[in-house]
Amino acid sequence: MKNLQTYKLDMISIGTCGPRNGRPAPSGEPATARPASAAPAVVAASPARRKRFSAAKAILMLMMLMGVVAYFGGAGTFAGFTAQTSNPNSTLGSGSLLIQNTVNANPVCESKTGESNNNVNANCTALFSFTNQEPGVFSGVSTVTIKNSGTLPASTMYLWAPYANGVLSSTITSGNNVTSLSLYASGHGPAGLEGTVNSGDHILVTYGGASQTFVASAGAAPGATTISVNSLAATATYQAGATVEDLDSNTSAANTNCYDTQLVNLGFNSTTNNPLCSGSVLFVQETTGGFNYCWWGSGAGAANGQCDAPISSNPTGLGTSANQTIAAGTYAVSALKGNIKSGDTVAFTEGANQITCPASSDYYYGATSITVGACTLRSGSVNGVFDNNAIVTDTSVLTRIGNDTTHNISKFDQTAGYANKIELTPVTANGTKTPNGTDLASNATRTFVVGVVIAGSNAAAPANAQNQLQQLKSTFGLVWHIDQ
Amino acid sequence: MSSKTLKKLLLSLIVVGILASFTARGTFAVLNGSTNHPGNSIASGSILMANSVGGGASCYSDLTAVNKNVNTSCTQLFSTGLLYPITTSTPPATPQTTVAYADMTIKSVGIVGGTPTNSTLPATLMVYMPNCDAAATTGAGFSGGTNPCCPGDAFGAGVLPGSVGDCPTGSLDFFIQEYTSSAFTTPLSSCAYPVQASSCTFLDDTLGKFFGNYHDITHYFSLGSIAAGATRYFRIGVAEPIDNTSNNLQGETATLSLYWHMEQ
Repeated sequence: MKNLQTYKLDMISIGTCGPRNGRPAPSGEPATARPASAAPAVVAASPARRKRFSAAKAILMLMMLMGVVAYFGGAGTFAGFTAQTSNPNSTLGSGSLLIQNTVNANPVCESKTGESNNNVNANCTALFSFTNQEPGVFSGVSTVTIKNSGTLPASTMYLWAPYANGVLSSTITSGNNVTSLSLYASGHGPAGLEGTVNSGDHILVTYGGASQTFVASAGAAPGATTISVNSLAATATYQAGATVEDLDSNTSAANTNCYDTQLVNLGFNSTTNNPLCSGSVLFVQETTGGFNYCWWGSGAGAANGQCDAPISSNPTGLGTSANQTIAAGTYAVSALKGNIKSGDTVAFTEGANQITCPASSDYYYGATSITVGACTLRSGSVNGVFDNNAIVTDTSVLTRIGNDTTHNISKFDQTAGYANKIELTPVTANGTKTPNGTDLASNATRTFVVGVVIAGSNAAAPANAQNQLQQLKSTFGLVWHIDQ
Repeated sequence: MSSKTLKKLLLSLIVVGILASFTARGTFAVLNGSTNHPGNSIASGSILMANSVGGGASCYSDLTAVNKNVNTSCTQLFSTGLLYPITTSTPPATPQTTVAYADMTIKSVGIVGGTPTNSTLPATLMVYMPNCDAAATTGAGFSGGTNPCCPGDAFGAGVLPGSVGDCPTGSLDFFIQEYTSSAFTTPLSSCAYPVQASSCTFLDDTLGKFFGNYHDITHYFSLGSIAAGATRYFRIGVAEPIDNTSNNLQGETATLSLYWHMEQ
């Protein structure tokens, strides 16, 4: 170490006298052999050894300083030759998954315009509002078109029954204690609370990327505009428009999203356990590209893709003179509102006349022609002639709906909620679904027919009476969802 | 590498692993969209009925909470012990004692909170006779022995025809005539029962035919449609057969019920 210090001392000392003198003396070379011009340095270096140690410290400090400089700012300075490339302006942009939801010819409902600021729109057009309905009779259907208007393909597309839910009407400010949740009564989605909240239920409030769960401190009835909750400080600000969902709903007929209200109190038409929700069969049948698949309803998953859906049709080729007989053959009819299964009993009814014939093939929603086999005139018919005022029904469909106990709206809520949501994989043929990793490509659309009918009773009279369902109204929701 | 350093490294790996396991759960739905159709609704209508006899108080099908729209306590149609064989099939004018008449008003209306409220659905109006019990008239001193409801059947309460079809001949006469208004002065040009192209007349054996064919809810007689909120008027007529000299219906009582039923 001492030699090293000496060497460095020499180097620096010589260096101070001239560039060439910076070199150390070659091993064995006598100091006296150096040029005369170097003599003063040698002389200057020799007088005091103490002074040499101070210089060494200075040099060490200098080297440390050089190291620091090299570390922080001097990198590369040792490289005389360098090469470098850079890739500036690299960008990363996210795509989008957006739903455009259209009911019949109504304005498009966009997921992105939802008030909850999270690409969830709880305020799309109601599918239907059927009034004055009766069991076993066609009520009506709506067509729903779902389009992925985003830039990304949706790997999954779902249909599910919403929880009991509502839309927050008063902003909750972060940090404030919350003891109740106010809901919009109209105009923003569900009319008040859609469903029933029981005391102790967990109530999820979501706005943008924030969410928080509260606990109901009391029950709330359908239509309520306030849900009382146990006092809890808000962890974020939830603007009016936030979604409010009861995570403990849809567990029984009594607390489903679907709820019954009594239009007129007849004395015998109680709403306890929502009997009309349980008595009304819901069906969702896809018709995209002419391919049918029954996703929910009596007949769900049938090989021919048909839900049991009433047809509600009339002949269109019999004229208006009531002088046409019906026999095996093909008949023009108004577009079917439901489906006919091959072999089903098709009835032509006009006044006291009714004739029944077996369907020769499957006929789907929208069909305008049906072929039937040999027909049988019902006993009691007057003259057995018909015209375009006749009503065409599929009595087999109505019977199957009457026998179905698992596809009513109440069951939809209890068995097809968020936890058991129905993935709508692509349909490639009638009754055939084929998962391929993308349920809804960007800009792709899928079309569904949604209907509901109060199931008639197939029991013998008088047990077939369904008077408890009179003057009730069922209200419910339906969710369409896509994921990346 | 010291054991202390190794421990730190392993701990950091565990932390990373835990983070990964949590964050991975959300990767399936980083982007999503959702739309909801709230407020879909389906509402049922109502079929309710009221009947009144002779312009009396209305008897409502939905009067009580527990009856489920069936009221079996409406007014008696008639009660007479003075019938005897008629001499002509033409119904005599009212008031009458030789035949039994009941003027029925059937309305498609219920009672809600004390206020009559129309049904909202049209229906088919039906009528049937769930019982017609034959008995010897108390104090008559003589009984002809033929069941006036369904000849051949036994006397007694609850006896129904053994099969669905016409009873043997020999029963009382019976008709249902519809009228245009509550005045019961203008009958329709046809007879509801027995089916006749003209207004009703008394025909032999018709009570037995009606009772034999229409004695339960699965075998009813249809009176056609009744619009929501509409009213229809019927006269029920019962008489002894024309010029019945056999006395086989003398000293007998028939106790019958008519059930009016509306169905969608």
